[in-house]
Amino acid sequence: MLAGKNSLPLEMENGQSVLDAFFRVLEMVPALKPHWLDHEGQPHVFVHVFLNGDDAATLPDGLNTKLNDGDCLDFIPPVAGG
Amino acid sequence: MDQITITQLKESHRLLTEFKYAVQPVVHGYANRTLYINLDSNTITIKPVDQKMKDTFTGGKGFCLWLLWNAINSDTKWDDAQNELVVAGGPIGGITAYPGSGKCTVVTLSPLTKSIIDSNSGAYFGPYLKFSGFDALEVQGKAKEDVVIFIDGDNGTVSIEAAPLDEVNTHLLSKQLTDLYGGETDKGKRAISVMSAGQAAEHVPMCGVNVSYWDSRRQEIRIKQAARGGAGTVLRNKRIKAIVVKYSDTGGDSNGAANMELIRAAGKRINKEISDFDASQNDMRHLGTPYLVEIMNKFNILPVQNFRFGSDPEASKINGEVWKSMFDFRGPDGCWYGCSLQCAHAVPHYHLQSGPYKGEAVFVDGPEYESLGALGSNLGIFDPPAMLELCFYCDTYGIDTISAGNSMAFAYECYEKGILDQQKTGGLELTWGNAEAAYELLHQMARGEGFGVTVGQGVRVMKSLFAEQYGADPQQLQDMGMEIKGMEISEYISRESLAQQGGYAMASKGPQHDEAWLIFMDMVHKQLPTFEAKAEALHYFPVWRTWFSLHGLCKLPWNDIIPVSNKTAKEPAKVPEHVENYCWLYEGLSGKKTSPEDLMAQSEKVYNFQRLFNVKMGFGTRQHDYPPYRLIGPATVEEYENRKDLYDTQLREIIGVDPDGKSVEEKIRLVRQHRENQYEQLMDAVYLRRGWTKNGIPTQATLQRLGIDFPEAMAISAAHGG
Repeated sequence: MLAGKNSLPLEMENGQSVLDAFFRVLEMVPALKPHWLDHEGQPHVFVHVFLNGDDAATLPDGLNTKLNDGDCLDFIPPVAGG
Repeated sequence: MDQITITQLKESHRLLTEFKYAVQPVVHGYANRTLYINLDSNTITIKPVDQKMKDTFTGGKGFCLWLLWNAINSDTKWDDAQNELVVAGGPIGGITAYPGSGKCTVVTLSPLTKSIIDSNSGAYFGPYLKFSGFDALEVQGKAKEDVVIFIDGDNGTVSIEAAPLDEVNTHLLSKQLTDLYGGETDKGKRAISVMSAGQAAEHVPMCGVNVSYWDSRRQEIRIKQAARGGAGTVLRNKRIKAIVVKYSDTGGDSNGAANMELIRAAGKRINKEISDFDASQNDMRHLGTPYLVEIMNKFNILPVQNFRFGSDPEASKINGEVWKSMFDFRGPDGCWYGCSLQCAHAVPHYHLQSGPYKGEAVFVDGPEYESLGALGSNLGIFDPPAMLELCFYCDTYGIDTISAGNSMAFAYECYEKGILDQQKTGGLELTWGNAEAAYELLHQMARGEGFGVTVGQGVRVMKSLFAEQYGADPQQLQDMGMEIKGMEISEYISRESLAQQGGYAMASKGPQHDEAWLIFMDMVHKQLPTFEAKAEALHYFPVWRTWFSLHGLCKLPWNDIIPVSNKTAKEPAKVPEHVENYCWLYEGLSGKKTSPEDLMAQSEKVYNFQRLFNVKMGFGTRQHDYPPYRLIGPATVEEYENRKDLYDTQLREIIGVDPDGKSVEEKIRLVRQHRENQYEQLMDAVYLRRGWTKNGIPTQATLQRLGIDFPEAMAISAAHGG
């Protein structure tokens, strides 16, 4: 749930990355900043970003992976299960 | 029916025996005694706890296993008088400076698995038992009439009382006994914890125990469950209506800690973290475990229609946000003093739609994620009131929601496949989404009549019955029957996580996620790419998770809140800062310098001992560690078609077979061959890492290394090739 919304469309420019999208979301929903950013303004360790179902951190270029048209990003908290 | 008054209830109780003892203070987390009750002879005695027992078994589940080991033989059955119900908190349990410190563990010979089961619960029983003077409680024998056992830690008495008029169902019985033994004041009621089951425990093997505490802010009885494996059925088989413990003087240092400063330092660190970050992470304090529904659905892990599918568009109707709007936030939601995680939510004023209490407004504890998976998505029911109805009745009747949900889902699928029909179900239409049928099955379990009693025997019994009586294909039933070792599988689809398949199927007690939950590490974060990495995880995490039940602690504060330091941690999945907290807790309690390796050593002894105990009882070998195929891969055409792209890609890229032109049946066969082979290799790797033989037996060298090499243990290992 993104500050009351389940999803939102993102318009990004050519060549922009997952990390760019992360900060774009924060521009659109500033209420998320205290939850997603640490005191240095970087993504918190516990915010996991998924690109089309894959943990972006596991991709070769990590959060710098370039986006393509129609890509889907998910922002998930740390999930530990029962 | 007129409700009985407390005066009438008191007059109806007849004292069968009373035992007096001197209450001694707890020292460094231990009462240094255990309580033994025999219901055949109505005798009560105290047993000493020596240093060797503490060094070897630590406490909690470890003590329970050791006491049961000494009480039963290899041919004891679950319903023999010789079987025991053993309950313990743990040395750290009962502290109030660190969240999640009020757990108790119940151990017994299970009516479901026929082997050793352990299950744990929150609420006040574990700490109160210890503060009353006992590190563990053993109950052996069977009463000749319905009884209540009352442990009064305020006055140093233990009594067995005939209890002919007490209710059986938990929501009424817990209230009666809290009023009877706690009196009219909040202080008195807060001193009471009641362990009970319910009507269904007299008829079906899948019943757990409920453990209560008094919520003075809401003026309600609250309950948590040690639900898995049938401890409630054992309780009622012994004709125990309830075990009540009373202790009024809980304080911040009731554990007799050696160094409270260190304990407080750990508590201060975790409490600040929860305060700062819970709302940004899982928001346990408002959502509780139901937050998982949406995420599991997103990742195709939510069981839908008997684990056939991993997601459903309707899942959002029962996700965390729905419950947040219904939960009662009038007061704190910790199930033990000082818990800042506060995940034990509840829904007030729910009006029952069915059964003996139809029309009454009740207070429903939960629902938890597991119950929503089992009784909701797995049955195709996505209706919040129906969830509350099913959860309420499961709890008050004593039924485990996971076993009930999976067993009903199995029956629903058999109905869909024509194995069952209305004639066989006594007129019930078991179609996906039919909540009324599910209600009726629960009521039948409680009444001990109708098809509900068959469903209540669990999936393993139904598989045999339906093959024998209705001519169903045993292999088909085996593939779709979601149980391992006789216990129903908890609510995560593990098809795309080989490590989680092992986590479920190689778990000692049966497929419960509290021993190893590796899906996200393996499938989502891809941190376990090799057999060796999976085997290491299936060594470390089950052993580590065992540690919590040795100490009377809840696992959630370990990894349901993540510290900032995880950003630079070498192994973030282990949450090293929190492991350090636990070292501080044990060191603060015991006064002994403590490392993470010391904590692991405590657990590894007990973990291997439990495995060996299973071997002693005729289980615990490789043949018992196999899951049903549906846990490993797509068992039917519809399951394959549901994720065709994924499986076709795997055929092409991993298995090296071109799927084009092949029938779905042929593709299922090829995928199955590959995945079953992978599972065999995983077993070999895990057993090797654990120091077990290829047949899953802890070797004599392993027993020696762990210091559990006493003669009977070594003989069992040797007799099985260890």
